Amino acid sequence: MKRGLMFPKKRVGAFITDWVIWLYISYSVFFLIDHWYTEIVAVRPYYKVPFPWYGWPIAIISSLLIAVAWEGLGTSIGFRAFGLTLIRTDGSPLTLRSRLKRIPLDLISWALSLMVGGLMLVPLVGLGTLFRGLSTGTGISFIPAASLWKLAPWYLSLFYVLLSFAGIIVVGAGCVFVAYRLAEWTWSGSNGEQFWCDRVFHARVAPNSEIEDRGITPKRWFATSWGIMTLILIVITFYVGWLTTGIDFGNLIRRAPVTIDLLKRLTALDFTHFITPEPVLRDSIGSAIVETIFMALLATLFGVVFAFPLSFLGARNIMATGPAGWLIYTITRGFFNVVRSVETIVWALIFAVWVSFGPFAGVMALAIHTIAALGKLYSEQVESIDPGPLEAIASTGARRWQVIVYGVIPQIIPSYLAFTMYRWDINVRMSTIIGLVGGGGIGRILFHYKNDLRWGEVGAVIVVIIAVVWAMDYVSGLVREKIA
Amino acid sequence: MAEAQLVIEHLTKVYERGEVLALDDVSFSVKKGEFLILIGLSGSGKSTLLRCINRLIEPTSGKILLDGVDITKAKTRDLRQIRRKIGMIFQQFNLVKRSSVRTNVLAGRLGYTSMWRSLSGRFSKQDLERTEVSLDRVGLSEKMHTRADQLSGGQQQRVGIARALMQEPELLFADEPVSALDPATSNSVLQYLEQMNQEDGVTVLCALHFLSLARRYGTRIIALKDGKIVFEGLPKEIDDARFKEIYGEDAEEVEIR
Repeated sequence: MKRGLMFPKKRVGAFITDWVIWLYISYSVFFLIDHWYTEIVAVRPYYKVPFPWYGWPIAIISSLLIAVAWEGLGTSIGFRAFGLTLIRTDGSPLTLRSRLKRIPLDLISWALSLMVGGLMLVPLVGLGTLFRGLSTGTGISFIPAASLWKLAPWYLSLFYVLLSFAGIIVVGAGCVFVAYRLAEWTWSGSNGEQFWCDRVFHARVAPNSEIEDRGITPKRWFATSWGIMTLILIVITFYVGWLTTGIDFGNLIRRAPVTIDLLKRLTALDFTHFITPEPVLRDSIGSAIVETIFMALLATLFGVVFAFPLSFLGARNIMATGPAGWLIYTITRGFFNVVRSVETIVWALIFAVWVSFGPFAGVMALAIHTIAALGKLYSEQVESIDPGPLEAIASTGARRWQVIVYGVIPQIIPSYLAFTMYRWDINVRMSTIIGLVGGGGIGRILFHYKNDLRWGEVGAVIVVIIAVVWAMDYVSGLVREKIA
Repeated sequence: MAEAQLVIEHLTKVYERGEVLALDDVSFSVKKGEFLILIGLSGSGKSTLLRCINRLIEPTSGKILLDGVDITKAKTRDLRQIRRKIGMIFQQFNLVKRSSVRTNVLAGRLGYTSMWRSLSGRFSKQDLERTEVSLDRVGLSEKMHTRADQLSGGQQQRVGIARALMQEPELLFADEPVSALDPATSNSVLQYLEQMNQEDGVTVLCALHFLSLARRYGTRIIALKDGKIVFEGLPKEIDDARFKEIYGEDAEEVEIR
């Protein structure tokens, strides 16, 4: 049996999962109470019940307690997700009765654990208060030195400082000692019994496989607490989501006449400024669409040029050869994820401020998002290649560079091309609207006409956009066929 | 008696994840020109042993001496020089499937080729001639420009052998080279190994599953079980009792010809 304190990664993961689930449920409950009160009980429909400040600690702590109790059943969603189960130490299943009886003890164990944490903090807080008091001349009255400092004669102050210091050390050491014994008593156990409650009931958290090995058929999903909870979560999400987003399908019909009127105006296409420049914008639809196409092309090119080398730095199987490689891998992947999670439109806003409005801002926005998106797709592709040839080439005494060129690149080229074409399609579509936020191109024209309520010209721009996107899709389809 | 070419002392490998003891204090030595067969169940440590020797897998402890030089202490540059001398062929052939046979075979020469030459694909004239000779030896000279994934299993393994030939190796490791092949092809592949062994004097370490093939080609057999050496001796010394010791009570020998 393993000895020493092991960090129970899966168990912590399961617990965090369950806790988050109950936090979500408690949020939903508060939301529904609020909704029920404002919409149904109170006549004032726009009055919101203010969420009380003590609501947060109550929600957090109550959801924590419920999550702990739920895990005591051994069939929580977290347990299920991390493949854990609660069994007897000898491997046989734990009866429902003893699982239920174990729950209060489990809660006490958790309370004791929290107490351990609290006691460990006592000396730190004490010293902190003392030093804070010494530097500011104020403090809490039970640490006399802090308030007496600068008021009493120096020898008296010094005496009190030393006395307080000694007191904090003694009390702190006592607290740490108690915490240590408490932790030992609460946490120690053998054969995987980690908690005091586990010791009492001879229970332990074990991987699911142990039960499956014994040939015990698991219950069907709707007969387990995780199954029922999943159903409840789906229902809650649907209901709360419906209320939050204000779904109202009736509105679709009520406002249909307005829309039909708008459509009529839109379909009266006005191609006056297709070639002749619009005086205010000093640009025509035709030149704007050319600008748009080049924006998409350049952004894709930039994306490929930078994402290709970066994708190797972001591939675990290439980089995870040492701590330095692992660091580069983490940074690269972090860069991809952060940059990708900011939408192209937001990047366009940033670059419109940085380099001022215009197509250059649009290209930069599209390019940086393309680099991150392609980089992630590419590096996942590198990670999924067959490692056999790499091993074979490395075994001939080749350098890492040579392994990449002869082993990795031939394997990834087809999917790289496919991803690039896919991204090219996205960039064409994005480049048409990026002008709305100052990125230049056809979007700028569209936005201008829309603000002027010149619907006939808006319709014309939309037709041009559809034609160009369709044509580009067709071209990329042709290229794709040639590649495959 | 020839000098020992490869000496392995107390080699141990522990896989960190799951704490599996893959090799447990393995010691043996190999003389030049031997055809050494490693047998044992799947998971007994044969593959790990071969990969530890050229450090595709880092051994946990122990010494590996090749011509008196300790491989386990070699720095990256020296390790590449050592790997050059050790050809290796694999159960799944490990060819780059989308590349041509020629490129796959030339890859065996990468350890000798400077970085810029190999990145731009400009191999020396001798290397190109060597490619033709190697492919000729395994009887695949007309498949030079075929893509590797269009060859049959046996042909792919022969490309693997040609790649190893390019290294002009002193040692050849074969990790279950015929497990994915039919019996007739198995024999022909092993005959190529035997030819390398006898004509070029290459020492061969070959992991195998079939005892009949081991008896036919091996000059010596080492059997592994749970990472330990349980038998070391001549092929003919493996009788029924020993066989059961290596493969377990329930095992029965399958004959392949």
